[in-house]
Amino acid sequence: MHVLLVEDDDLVASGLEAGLELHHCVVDRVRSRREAVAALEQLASDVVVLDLGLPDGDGLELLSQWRRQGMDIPVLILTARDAVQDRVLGLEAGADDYVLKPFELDELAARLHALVRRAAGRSVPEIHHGDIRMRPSTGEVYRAGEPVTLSRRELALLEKLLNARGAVMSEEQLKDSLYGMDTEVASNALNVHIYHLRRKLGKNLILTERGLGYRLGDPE
Amino acid sequence: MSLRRRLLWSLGLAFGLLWLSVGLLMYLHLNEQVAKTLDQRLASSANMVAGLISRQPEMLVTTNTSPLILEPDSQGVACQIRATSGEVLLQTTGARGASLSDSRPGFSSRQIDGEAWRLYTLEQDGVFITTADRMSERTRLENGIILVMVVPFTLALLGGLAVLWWGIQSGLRPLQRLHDELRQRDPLNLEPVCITEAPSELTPVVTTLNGLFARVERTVAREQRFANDAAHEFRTPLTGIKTHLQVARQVTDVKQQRALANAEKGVVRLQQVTEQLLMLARLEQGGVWQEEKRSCISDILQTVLADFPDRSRLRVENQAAEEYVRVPLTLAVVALRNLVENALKYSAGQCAIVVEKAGGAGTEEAPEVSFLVRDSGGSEPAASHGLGLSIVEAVTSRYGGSLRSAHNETGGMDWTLRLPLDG
Repeated sequence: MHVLLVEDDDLVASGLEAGLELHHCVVDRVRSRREAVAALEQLASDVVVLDLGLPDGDGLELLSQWRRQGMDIPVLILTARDAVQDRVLGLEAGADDYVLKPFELDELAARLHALVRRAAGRSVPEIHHGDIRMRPSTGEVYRAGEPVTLSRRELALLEKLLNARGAVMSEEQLKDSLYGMDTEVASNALNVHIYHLRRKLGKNLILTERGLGYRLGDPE
Repeated sequence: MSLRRRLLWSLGLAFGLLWLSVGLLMYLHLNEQVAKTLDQRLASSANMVAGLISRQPEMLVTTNTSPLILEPDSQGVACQIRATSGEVLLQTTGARGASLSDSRPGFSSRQIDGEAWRLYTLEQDGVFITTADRMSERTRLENGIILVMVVPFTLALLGGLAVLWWGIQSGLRPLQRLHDELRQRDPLNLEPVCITEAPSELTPVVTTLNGLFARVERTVAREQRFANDAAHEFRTPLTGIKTHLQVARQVTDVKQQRALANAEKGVVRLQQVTEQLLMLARLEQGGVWQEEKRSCISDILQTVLADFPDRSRLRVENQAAEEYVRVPLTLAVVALRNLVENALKYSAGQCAIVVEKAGGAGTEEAPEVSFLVRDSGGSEPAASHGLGLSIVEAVTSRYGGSLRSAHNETGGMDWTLRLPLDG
């Protein structure tokens, strides 16, 4: 799961990045409203964590702007503004959730996973695909009832493809989910992860659509 | 007691008393005039009889044993003519006529057969002429006068009171509307009061009230903004500490050390915020500062610059090194440091601190020292400066300085702090 973190405070941001990575998230952090707009145009993020007090303007305005532009990506507001009026304004501006600082890391991660799950149209925390069962919030994956160990990036790749429900995902979209804005990625890195996933979960799990990208294979 | 009731009572009472006093005076005066007029009528009657006798003296020659000469229609009047010897020469009919004897010249009152009479006796050419009328007749006349006077008087009084009530009601209607509007108002509603057709006397009240509402609204907004800033300033390092501690619990080795180091950074920041807030609280409560009330510019600058080890982005121009300001050193340093900190935080390029004397001789301004903190922009403009500016404003407010901000030609901001010059 790729998280776009919009937070101007370095201390909070570094804690969030480290904490969310422990919960199997790939996090990209931006500091301002301007950077957030640019990042969301370039990246295929799954969810946005938005601070409201940004140095170049209010996060609420940014959210309203995204919603006006038709962006339906789940957004969780993470702020110190605790007044009921602020929460109402935040949710009315288009936020999917509102969490106050300071927060419990486990709860925040669970909320983010729930938001992504809901956005993918699922109501249960587990994803089933043939004999494969995945629980994104804990990073647990089972094949035919047996646990399978996957790396953080393999988990992110599997979750992205499972949530796409058979739709073709381009290489760029998949790379965004795995690496975000990290440009120092080897050109064959994605192929390596796909190879490992096929080896661990079945060669027909991921199908290659030549010139287009990859999609989830039919359940075995 | 309501204003309307008080007005009704006081004006009604005054109105009633005034009318009753006037009525009483009129009645007394009229009574006196009536009595005088009736007395004059008695005297005129006696004079008329005297005139008749002087023209026809033979009238007094009595041949009969009965001296009856008159039988008047009215039972309320009587007349008697006597000789100086006391012999009754002529008199009106009835026993009452005889009772008029022994009257002395002039007016007198007498009880005859249990009834009060008014008498007038005139002496002329050796005869006494006495005329008399019943007091009950006079009383009847007086009662008639009172009745004629009281009815219209009472009606006028009641009408006057009704007009007074209506006048007070309609006169106080705008005040009543203001009262209703304020009574039904939500205590949190700070919208201006609008009273239609408010009289000119009420306009200053409504204007003042609306001005007060506007001021309260601004104060509430400022307090709200400050509370939000303070909450942000506190919660941000607290969030950093809590998050890094949660991470530290789940990782080991280098990652754990890094998380703990970050949590410690958060603790330091939290300590700074707490100290700033405590300082602000002391300033706003007017607490006594246990240090010298003046500080030297060079000391202020030296202390501020010591807090910024990396001075590559700072340029300092001090043209008032030997001057003093009437602000304790700690507070002057905190105020200037907060401005410099903000300038460095919200600009990407160079920042300048220019210190010089301002105002004083030849100008209308008091002598001051001006600290200009100029940033060159280039970074995102600040939406909020947290507690820092609140502290600067508290210092200037307490020690008679000022803080102004303006955009400069580089796209950044100029913050001018002025503190009163000492000496």
